[in-house]
Amino acid sequence: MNEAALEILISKHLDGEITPAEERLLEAELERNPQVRRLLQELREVHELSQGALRGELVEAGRSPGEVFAAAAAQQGGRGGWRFRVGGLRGAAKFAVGAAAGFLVGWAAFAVFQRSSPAPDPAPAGEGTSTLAERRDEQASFDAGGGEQNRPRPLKAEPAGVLPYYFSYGDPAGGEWLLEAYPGNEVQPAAYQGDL
Amino acid sequence: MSEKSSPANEAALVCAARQGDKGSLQALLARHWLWLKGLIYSILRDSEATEDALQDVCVLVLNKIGGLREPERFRPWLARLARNVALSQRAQQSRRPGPLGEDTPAAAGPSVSDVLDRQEQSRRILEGVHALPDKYGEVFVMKYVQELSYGEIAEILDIPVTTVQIRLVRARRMIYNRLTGLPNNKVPRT
Repeated sequence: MNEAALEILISKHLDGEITPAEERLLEAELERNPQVRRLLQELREVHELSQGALRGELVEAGRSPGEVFAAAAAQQGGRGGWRFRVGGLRGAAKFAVGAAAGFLVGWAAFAVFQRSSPAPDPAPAGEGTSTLAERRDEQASFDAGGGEQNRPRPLKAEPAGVLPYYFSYGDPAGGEWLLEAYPGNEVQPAAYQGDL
Repeated sequence: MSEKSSPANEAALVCAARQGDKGSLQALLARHWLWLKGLIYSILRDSEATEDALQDVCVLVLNKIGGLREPERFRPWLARLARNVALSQRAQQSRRPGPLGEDTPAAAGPSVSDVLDRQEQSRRILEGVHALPDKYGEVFVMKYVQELSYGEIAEILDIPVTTVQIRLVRARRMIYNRLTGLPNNKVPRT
């Protein structure tokens, strides 16, 4: 075994990292060679002296970790303390922040879209539901076109106490409409089926 | 003796520290304090400067722990941070000890203990440690200050275990040569 390999074995022995097989090899060399025994003795001495010297210099001296950390925290606190980071939030908080951010972005995009898009065509009568603004327009148009005179009239006279079921209505554009009344308190769009 | 802890336990502490738990961060630093101190000392070679650098490292850790992506890699991350702080401070100080063998070594022949008394031995050992090149010095000091295993040192410094082993052999031999007056070229090559 060459000197370098022997020194590695001695080093591993001193550091407590030697394997049983390597230990046997080293023991055989120590038995056989007095120079190896001397080298082991010298390196062991360096090992023990180094341990003592470095422990005296570093382990048994200086401030404790707590003291240094407290000083560092005070120093760091003076620079503005802990910084807020979304990445450091817990799962639920992160979700809430994400949802709120998503809502704001969505709302802003909707507002921009609403401003930039042209006003939609009014829905044809009898189709779908109308917006409140459209209903106000219809009311104004109704009032301008004659008001009460244009209000739907029962299609036929009913006995007292019986609510009319069908109404006729002429819109300002000259169209004639048949309205079906619902007994419930609801509003439904009228539709002409073409079979009356 | 190094304080052994399960990686999961350490990762949990790191996660808590990332979320601003200073207690967890302090516990982590206390756990790794000695080798951290040793690593800085191996670069600065001065115990007072090491204390100052340790505080700077703590401030940096407080500021940067939130950016640590892999909690299980806390130790190498901490080592890199500490090494950078120490190197930066050394550059500012601009006072490096001379190369190995610059001081007058003891005469060749007698053993270490024959030549030096205890206090003198410590002083000469520290001189030898200070004269080691950085890559040998950091491994050597980390080994002796906290009795870390080769594997632990390798993980912290992000180098192979065999490299740690060889550096320790050579560092020990360099100090031995310095103390006994042997030439520095008598360092085992592998």
